[in-house]
Amino acid sequence: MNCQNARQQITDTLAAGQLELAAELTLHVQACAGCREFYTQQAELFRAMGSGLSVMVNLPMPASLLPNVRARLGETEAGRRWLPVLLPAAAVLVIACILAVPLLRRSKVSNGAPVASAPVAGHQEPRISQPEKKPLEQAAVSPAPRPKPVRSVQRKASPRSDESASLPVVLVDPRESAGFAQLAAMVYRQPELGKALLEPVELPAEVSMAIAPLRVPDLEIESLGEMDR
Amino acid sequence: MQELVLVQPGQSIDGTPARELERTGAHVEFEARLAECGPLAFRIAQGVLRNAADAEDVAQEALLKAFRSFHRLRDPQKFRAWLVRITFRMALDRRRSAKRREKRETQWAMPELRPSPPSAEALAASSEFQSRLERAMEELPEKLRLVLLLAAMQGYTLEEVSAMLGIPAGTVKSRLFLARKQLAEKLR
Repeated sequence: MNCQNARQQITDTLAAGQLELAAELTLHVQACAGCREFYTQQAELFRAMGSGLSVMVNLPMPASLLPNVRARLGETEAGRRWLPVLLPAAAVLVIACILAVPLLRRSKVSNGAPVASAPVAGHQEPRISQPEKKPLEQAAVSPAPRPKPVRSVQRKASPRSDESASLPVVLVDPRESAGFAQLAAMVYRQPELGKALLEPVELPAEVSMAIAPLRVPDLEIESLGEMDR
Repeated sequence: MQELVLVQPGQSIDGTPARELERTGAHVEFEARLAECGPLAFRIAQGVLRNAADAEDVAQEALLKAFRSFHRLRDPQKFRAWLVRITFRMALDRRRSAKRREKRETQWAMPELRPSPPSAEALAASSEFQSRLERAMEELPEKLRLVLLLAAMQGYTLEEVSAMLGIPAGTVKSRLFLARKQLAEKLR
């Protein structure tokens, strides 16, 4: 066995954690002073390494570690306990905000827009003379059978945030609603017809009758449902 | 005569919600693991960081993380292995960021800036050999370093280390052999 080979084996033996050398290696170490010196040094080095590593990792655990972990676990648990309450609440809040944004926008728009007013009977306000598409479409549709026209009148009176608040709603007898819708559509198509309808009619002198304009405050409004009873 | 009890779904007979019971059970189980594995986590962190305060911080974080994943770590062996890996990884990260910070501070601070006073454990291990050993340890590949640290811990056999790391005992032995050899070469 040469010295280089012996030193290699000495290192391997010590690195493997063995304390005793193989018989052949022991004989060489006993016979070779250089290898004996090397073995002594290496054995000391590996021992020091072992004790150094042991010092490094075997420090006693600080007494505060586990209590701190438990305390933080408690905090986490407390947070988790609130989670089932907070999550739905947050979700509701978010949904409310999402819904509120368009509503707020609409109310802003309706505040700036004219609110539906007088044209209840359509006689005094010559709205028909300003043919706007929307009001007339609404007028043509709204006379469709309404079981309780009282409600529709009330809606007109109070300013609404809805866009439809700016559209006139006309109170029509359900039996005449189809006819009125046709008339409204016709007026829309032929604005001059609307103008003609609004112009004061000069009656011949021999006719002794007068048509008084309809006055809304004089109307007694009752629910059609109640009238049916 | 057989007695029948009407139980609301999701609740036990005495009315305690099943989830609550499960949570309590998990707490009891985790408490047992905490007492068993707390020192292990601290020692691993200490082996990498060599600073008790930092090691305690890292061990604490690792244990909290372990609790959050406890539902899939009920098996004690799995838990320990997971904790070893996560603590080692977190300690390495902490060490790297501390080194970066140290480097920055050294670059920008006044040259006569004095180092912070050494802690008690640093004083205890302040021999020249110890600092050389620490430096040499840092140069080792992570796999070898972790095996060396675990093997140096009192109370863990080679088989336990192999179970902790989820590798065969033969692999632990060969890594340990390589680690010691490389370390000795660096210290020679």
